[in-house]
Amino acid sequence: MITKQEVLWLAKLAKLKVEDKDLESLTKDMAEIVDFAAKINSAIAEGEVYKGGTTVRMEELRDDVVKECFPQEVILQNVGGGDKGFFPVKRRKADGK
Amino acid sequence: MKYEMVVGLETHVELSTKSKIFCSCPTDFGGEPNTHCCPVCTGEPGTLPILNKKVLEYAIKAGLATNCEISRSTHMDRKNYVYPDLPKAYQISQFDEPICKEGYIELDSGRRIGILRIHMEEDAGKLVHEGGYTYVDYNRGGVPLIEIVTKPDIRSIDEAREYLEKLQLILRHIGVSDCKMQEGSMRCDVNISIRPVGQTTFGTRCEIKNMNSLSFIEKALAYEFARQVDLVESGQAVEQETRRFDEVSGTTESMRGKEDAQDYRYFRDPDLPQIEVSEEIIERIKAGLPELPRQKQARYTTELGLPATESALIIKYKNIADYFEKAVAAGASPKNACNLIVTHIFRNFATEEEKEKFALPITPEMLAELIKLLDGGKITANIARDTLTKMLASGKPCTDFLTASDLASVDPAEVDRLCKEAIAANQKAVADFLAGKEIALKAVLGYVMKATRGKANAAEVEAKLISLIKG
Amino acid sequence: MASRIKTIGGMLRRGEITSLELTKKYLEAIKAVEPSVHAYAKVTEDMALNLAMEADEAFKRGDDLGPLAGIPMSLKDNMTVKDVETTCCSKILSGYRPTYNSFVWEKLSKGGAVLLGKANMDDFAMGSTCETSCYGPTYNPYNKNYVSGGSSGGSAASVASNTAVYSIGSDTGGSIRQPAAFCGVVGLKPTYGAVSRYGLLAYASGLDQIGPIASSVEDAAIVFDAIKGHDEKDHTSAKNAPAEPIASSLAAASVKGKRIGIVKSFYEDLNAEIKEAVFKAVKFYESEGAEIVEVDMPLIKYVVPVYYILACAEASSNLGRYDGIRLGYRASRYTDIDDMIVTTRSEGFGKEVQKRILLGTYVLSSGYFDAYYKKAQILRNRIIASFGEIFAKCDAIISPVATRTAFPLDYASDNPIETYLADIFTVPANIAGLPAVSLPCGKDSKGLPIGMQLIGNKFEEGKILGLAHSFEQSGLSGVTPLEMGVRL
Repeated sequence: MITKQEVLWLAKLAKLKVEDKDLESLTKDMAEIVDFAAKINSAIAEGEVYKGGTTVRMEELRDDVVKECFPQEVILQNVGGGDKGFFPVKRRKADGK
Repeated sequence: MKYEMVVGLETHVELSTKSKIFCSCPTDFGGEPNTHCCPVCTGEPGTLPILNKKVLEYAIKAGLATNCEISRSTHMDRKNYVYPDLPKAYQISQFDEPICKEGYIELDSGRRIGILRIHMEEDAGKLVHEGGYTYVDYNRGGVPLIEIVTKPDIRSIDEAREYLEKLQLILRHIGVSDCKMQEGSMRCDVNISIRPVGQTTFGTRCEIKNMNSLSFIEKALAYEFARQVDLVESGQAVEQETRRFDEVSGTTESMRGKEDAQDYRYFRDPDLPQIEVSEEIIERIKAGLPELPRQKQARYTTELGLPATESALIIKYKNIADYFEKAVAAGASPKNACNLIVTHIFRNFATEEEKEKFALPITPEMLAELIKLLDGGKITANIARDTLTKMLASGKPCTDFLTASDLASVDPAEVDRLCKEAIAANQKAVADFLAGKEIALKAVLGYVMKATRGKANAAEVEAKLISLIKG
Repeated sequence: MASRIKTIGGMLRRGEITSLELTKKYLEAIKAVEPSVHAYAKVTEDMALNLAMEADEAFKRGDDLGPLAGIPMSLKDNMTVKDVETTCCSKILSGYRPTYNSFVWEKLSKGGAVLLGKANMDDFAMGSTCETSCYGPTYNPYNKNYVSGGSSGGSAASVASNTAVYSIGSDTGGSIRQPAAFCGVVGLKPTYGAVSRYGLLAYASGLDQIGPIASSVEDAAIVFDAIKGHDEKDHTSAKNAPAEPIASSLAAASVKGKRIGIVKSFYEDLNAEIKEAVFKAVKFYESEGAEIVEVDMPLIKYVVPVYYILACAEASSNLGRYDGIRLGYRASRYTDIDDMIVTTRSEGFGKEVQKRILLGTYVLSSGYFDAYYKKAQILRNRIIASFGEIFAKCDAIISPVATRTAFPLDYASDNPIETYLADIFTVPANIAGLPAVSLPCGKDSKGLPIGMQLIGNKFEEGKILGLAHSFEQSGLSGVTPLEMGVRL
């Protein structure tokens, strides 16, 4: 079970748009998936949480050494070289005057 | 009804490691945009974070210096939110297993401000707004931060200021950050609520984010306190919200509606390992910690006998403290070294920057050479001060300026003769003195001092005069 | 089934053919076969010819770059190749040119590999049929009315249709093994950490692994040997994995005395043809002196939900960075930055990807975290422990790869949950980080290949590949190479 309100809230968090015309069917789809995931409800949850496969000792971590950076034009190569060295974005509704 | 403020501070401090927290790009401040970057810190798809050992070491140092417990096992978590300056749309931080917890900073009053936790995280890039457009520079992205969170133990604006100044001092002293609020290497989120004095439960708190100046923090606290008291006294409730401090008006305004409620969906970052911190490594870091400001202050006042305000001034700047200690190690008396540094040298430095750098043309050993002469009575205080001025101007040692006559001590027979001469020449003053006007003696003393060009020992001369006058 | 890599390698070294000639053959085959198979999202023709020429130069100089030198292959489109458009077959990454090489491609290119193109895949690796690719589906080379499987559908189909000698795919819940089974070829998902993930566009960081798809077990072993190893750019990359090459030890691998585990509950409701094909392999092992041991997987009914909770949670976080600001697709009509990001993502991600991001967001959100994500991580530990008990009793587990042979086209989108559940045999190895290989063991009545799976304990790729190799060499697989593409 999942409500339309919850679907809209999730979409907001996930930065996705749900058109009004799609909300009904998406909610139905999501309900199906959520119910599927909820199958674990009947399982016994005793024991430790999985902590990832790797453990390292602090001594084994990377040393604090500077290595050469990537040139600015390479960093910006996917935005056509950028604008004066920056990644251009538009004005955000909530920022700026 | 009297109200008290209840304040907690979350301070973000940029660590002065050479490379970033998850990649080997430099952490240098400034530079052309996007020139300190690599695929990892721009969040390019497919890249993975590799933790910098020094970040962990500095975080542990900060924890030890603030009396925290250090975790033997720690990990990183993802804090998920979307903003253009955060390239991965999550910040790698620590949520439920911070590297340090349960520490404190003790204020001069003896009150302790509890530190709930210290954790490591990465900084975001910088947004630049210009001409209606927004631009992003990821140079700062990935610079290591520690976040130091206090318990809501602060009860006044003065305490808030003192806590932050002490925190700054400690972190600078142990060398983990330059803590420059104006440069952004130290930022503060302020949490404030109010309650009637005597109440133990907490009121609703408001958060003022990203404050980068002590005086603004003081203004914001003052304004918020008044605002919240007004609300409560007029029967309204304080809303839990994030507010923004407006520097121009000195007020805070609600950010409600701009920042909708967030859900960071913290979970363990699967790209990073569990990190084991051994007892040995903590001991090694502890052993390598320099003397902390508090310990230094205690040693200066009790062991070295320095006046509290002057020693506090020296301690405030690590380079000055180091200089002072080197001079003392070279044989200068702490009292005279402290005195000369504070009254004579310190005032040559106008800006905070200069005070921190404390770049002198003379070495501590050269200063010690001069002070030893003063200590031994070979030169008078006046001559010491004059010589020091010349040394600072030229960078040359005191021996270049001290003449034989400066160094020559005054013959006791000569002092005797001059005292008798002075008494004879200042009959009125002597009479006034005998009549009870103690200060009249100064004129007679002045006569002798002038005759010896300041070389005589003033205290000894005064004693001699008194014994001659009184018979 | 002879090793194609060794056969071609011999020809190259004896001068019977040059890499350039070979590569041209493959490029021609691609042109002929692609209209009916569509295994490639992009063919990198110029790059392939250049790499082939470089490989030939190396041979001429006497530089033997390794067993994969000069051999044409395909790479799933979710691994970076510097400056070559990498899209995960998703609209949101159109135009993205990586600034760096993935660890895997760096290693392969140093070994003289010839990249024919980026293999087609499900949008962001989220799918089991390769139908969600923004470039269109990959068809099963055995029957183009059926899917190739997913998400490494293009990888498997390129090998099966002989338009690549081998391919590199990725496997998060079965994405190498299932398409390999559907297409009648061999697919290996190594132990988690055996192959560096640096340069693999992450779907689920704690489950993803890169692995080979090839026409024989020996080829899969040769490729695995070439790409495995520690990488200091990947914290999850294993430091102490066995370094000895596996390919050369396969011939000596023996079945006798091995204990092979079989989970009875797997076969209770299983399609009869698949059951029969897998049991054919079981009987083979028994006849060769293996001991068949009954083992139990009591948590099997939870593995698929656990997988989807964990995978979607991590995916919702990993895919947050695709916002049109630094790379890829950016929406053209929007009001402000926030709207730009939302519109870009909604227009750029496919429907299945968006659903999984929403599910992932749900299971991580503060009201549901404990009941879903945290509980799934606890169950994960329990599943790992149950494997521990199993491997105390046997050397490898044999199982089907999927509950069915290839889906017909368009079936999966109408039957999402059934499609998810078809992964029931493959996801356990991802959840537990264990190595697993799939190889052909029969065909169904429609002529579609059936695959069997061998799961081993951590870093025991040698053991499971040895067992796989033995079965393959028995000639009982019931699958022969297709008459299409390059045949040497």
